[in-house]
Amino acid sequence: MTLQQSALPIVIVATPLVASFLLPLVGWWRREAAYPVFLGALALSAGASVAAAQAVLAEGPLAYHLGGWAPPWGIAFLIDHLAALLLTLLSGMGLAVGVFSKRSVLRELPEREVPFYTVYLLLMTGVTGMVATADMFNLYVFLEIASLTSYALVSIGSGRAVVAAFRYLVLGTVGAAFYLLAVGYLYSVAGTLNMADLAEVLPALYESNAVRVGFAFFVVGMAIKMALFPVHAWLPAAYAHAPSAVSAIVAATTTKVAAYALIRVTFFVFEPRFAVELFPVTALLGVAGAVAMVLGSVLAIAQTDLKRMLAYSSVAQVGYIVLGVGMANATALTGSVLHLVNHSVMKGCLFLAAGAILYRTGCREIVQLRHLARRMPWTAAVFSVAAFSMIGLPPFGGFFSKMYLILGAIEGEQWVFLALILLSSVLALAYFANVLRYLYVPGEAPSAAGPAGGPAAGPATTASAAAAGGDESADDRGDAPAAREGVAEAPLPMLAPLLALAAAVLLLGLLNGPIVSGFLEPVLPQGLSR
Amino acid sequence: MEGLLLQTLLVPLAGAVLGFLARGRRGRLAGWIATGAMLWTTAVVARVGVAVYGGGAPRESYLDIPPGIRLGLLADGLSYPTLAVVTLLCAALTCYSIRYVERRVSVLYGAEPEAVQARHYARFFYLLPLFPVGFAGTILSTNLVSLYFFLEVLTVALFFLMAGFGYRDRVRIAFISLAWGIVGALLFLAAALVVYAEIGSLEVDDLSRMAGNRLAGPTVALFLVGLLMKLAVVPLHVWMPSVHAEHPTCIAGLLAVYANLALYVVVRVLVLPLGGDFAAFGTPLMALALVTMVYGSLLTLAQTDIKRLAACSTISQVAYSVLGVGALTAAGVEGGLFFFLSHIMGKTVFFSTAGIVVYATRIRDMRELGGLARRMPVTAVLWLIGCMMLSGFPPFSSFAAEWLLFTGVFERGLAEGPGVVAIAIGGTTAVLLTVAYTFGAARRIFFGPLPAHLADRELTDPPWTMTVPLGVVAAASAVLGLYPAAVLDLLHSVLAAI
Repeated sequence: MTLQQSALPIVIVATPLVASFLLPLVGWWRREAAYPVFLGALALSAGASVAAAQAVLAEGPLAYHLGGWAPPWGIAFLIDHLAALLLTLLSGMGLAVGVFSKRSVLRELPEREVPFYTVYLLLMTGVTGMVATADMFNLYVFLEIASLTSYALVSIGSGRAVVAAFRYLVLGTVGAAFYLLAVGYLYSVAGTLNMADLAEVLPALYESNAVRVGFAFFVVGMAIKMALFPVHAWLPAAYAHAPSAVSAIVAATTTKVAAYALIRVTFFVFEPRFAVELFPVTALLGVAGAVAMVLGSVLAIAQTDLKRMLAYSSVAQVGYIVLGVGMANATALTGSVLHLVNHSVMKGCLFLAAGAILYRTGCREIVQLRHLARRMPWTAAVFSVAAFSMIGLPPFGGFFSKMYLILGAIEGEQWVFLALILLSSVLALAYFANVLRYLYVPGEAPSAAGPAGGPAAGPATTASAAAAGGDESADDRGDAPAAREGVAEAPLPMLAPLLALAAAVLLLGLLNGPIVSGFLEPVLPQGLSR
Repeated sequence: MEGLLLQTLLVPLAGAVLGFLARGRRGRLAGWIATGAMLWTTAVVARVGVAVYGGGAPRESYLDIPPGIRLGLLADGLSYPTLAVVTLLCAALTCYSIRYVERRVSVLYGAEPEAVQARHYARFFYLLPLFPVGFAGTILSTNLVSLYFFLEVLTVALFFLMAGFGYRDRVRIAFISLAWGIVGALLFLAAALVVYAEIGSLEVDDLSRMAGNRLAGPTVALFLVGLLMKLAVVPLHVWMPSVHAEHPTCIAGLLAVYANLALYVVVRVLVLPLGGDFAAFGTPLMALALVTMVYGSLLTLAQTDIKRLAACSTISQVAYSVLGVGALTAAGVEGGLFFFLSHIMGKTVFFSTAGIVVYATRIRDMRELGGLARRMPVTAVLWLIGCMMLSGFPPFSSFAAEWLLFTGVFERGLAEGPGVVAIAIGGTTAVLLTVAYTFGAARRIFFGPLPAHLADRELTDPPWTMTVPLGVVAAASAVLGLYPAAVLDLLHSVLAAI
């Protein structure tokens, strides 16, 4: 392994950190120079992630000890197959949303783009650090960096964003505090916080109450961070009120790294038998995940605001991920990780599409989007691709993660979970079909005419209805506000990342075989039933 | 010949893409583009036929996606006749739609400028070719997940066509059909995944390894419920009448295929490889089919709406095929499939003629119609042909199909005992109801005095693009009626083992 390769972990994590310190200076010197620096840092981090993934695939895990201090004293990073996959995902999403953010930040946060870029880079440091670290305490540090920056990013939104951010802050802080408590308990009995060391020390301590209490605190803390039912209440408002780019990046990263931490600690730091048999938390997680899956979808159906609907859908999708953890067999865990990756891309893509629509039309109510596909065909197409993937249509990524989850349920003979996964897919269909129908279908039946249809439909309606005559009904005409004259397709800097993510959704489906065999199978924990 | 089967999927798709590209100023060309693509597809299918009738069974495979998913295509004696008839219908109906949709767009979107109307018009024709793609994919697939995929393609295409071009309350009804379609397909997928978990393969060819498995019974039930939802067999028929009544009439024949095609899947996925485990469901299925036949026929008799009439008739007609397949004898299954093919041809002619009446008069209520035969003779003749095709009059193929079908059902009845014989007798008498509602409607619409409100209107036969395709379909049905061996020999080559 070359020197450059072994330094990759620190390049991924530290580049955004260093750039975030430089950025205020650059912005003070010349505001328009801030964006290239911002984008350069994200691109470098993403490039390093891809290089790290290649190195891991070729030669196995990458370890890096900051300053040459070996564990247990130094700061250690370790990128194994799973972490490499996640890092590629996170820094890739960071880059895509970063490209998108230029225009939307100029519009939504005028004069404040430099602070935005700075905090955004810090968030990327936090989420990539959480994945790359090999130490439970450093994980806490990065968790707090990611959390604090996401509170800040959410709070700069409009309207009720501050209230939403405050709720997020209170609950998020509780979650982080629980995690810190868990770390304290584990340290008190194990005497180490390095994950590899812990994995060696802990099996002898599985009967210890301190370990069990610590683990329980850990699970609840992570559940709050990933907005698992019933502690999901902070998420919808935070996602709905945040600026578009923030919704996308927060949805694509923060809940995902919390889920990653859950998987990492439950199956890699502890042995699977601990959470499955000795201290059966996974059974509980399975139930919580299943309920989240159904309830999140039901609540999503009830929403009229596009971003809020996407947010509730996130609650449901987190349910899928946790359900996969809860079923605790190799197939289901594969599905869980795959769904984590897929959902990050799909939901990032959907939030960006919603952001592009907001940018061009100022509309966020679903009923206002009627026939918008006519004005913004590419955005609508990208939205459809991501929505089809969410529903679980082949050959998009979402299909395969659900397929593994279903296979996992069959393997574990968990017929109730199987039924609930299917049910939740149908519910996902219900809310996405509703949006797609508004995007694509002009006009609507008179009985279902919403408030948006009324004023726009004028004398022309009656005239055409009269002309139609007989039994063939004509509709109220006129497109909704969003599709009015003069609304154009999203500008290229917004459209390019959207198209890239839509392509990624498709590729994640077509290439799911290599992903599973390359990144997941080598690291699937021993002791899981297969 | 390499890639012929793939072409049956790609050529319509290319038509859709071209139509999409033409949607701006050249939107009005989309209809002809789609028709051209479908004629080409028909030619491709004919060339496949050369190989199949020569005793071959072309097989192609593409796109290997782990776990176990690939796009495998097979044209054997079972899939080829189905593909040939369905493709013919798709081509005929695309041509029929050229003028029909013109009228539909001007009614729905007449207030818009011409450029926008052309765009709507093109939209219909770049969605329509997704049906032949979905049908061909469903028919030819040898992999359960790709089969599922094509079932979903059909459902999604139907949703957008329905929501954009349907009649009363069309968006709500589009949602109903979408929900039923997707739930049915998802049950199918769940069953497929159970199969995968048990035998480690998603290939239809490997399904027989599932026979006798501890989960075989529940799996067959799951497959069956999913497919019966598509077939709209009582008590899973709720979606059918409204969906079939309110969609744009030009896709009526395709909708009949959409519902009925699930029966082909039943034969392909359940009857052939899992016959032993499926046998337990045979008699209940026949009972349900009988209930559906009678219920559907009575419902049809009660209709006064000309489109609803045609729609409700599909419920009972589909049930005939289900009855035959439920009998699980070679004659019953072959008859059931042959009747399926005959029915979709008959329904295309019948339903599309109903569409012509609505197109010309803009009236759907049969009580306001009458005496049209004098003004629209060609349409009247087509309607009568449609009646004969549906009721099973010689020389049309449904006669031969019913003959074979009931032979199979009685065979089973004689083997099983009086209960099944009763079902068989009930089925034969239900045929009379078909005669009643088809010819009864013919009398109402085309004969008797012309109502006053129609007398001063200009009513003529529709343009040739609407009548000629229907004539071709009727001729095809007559040929198959006079020479049924063309289909039955092929079916028998695969199904003889039952």
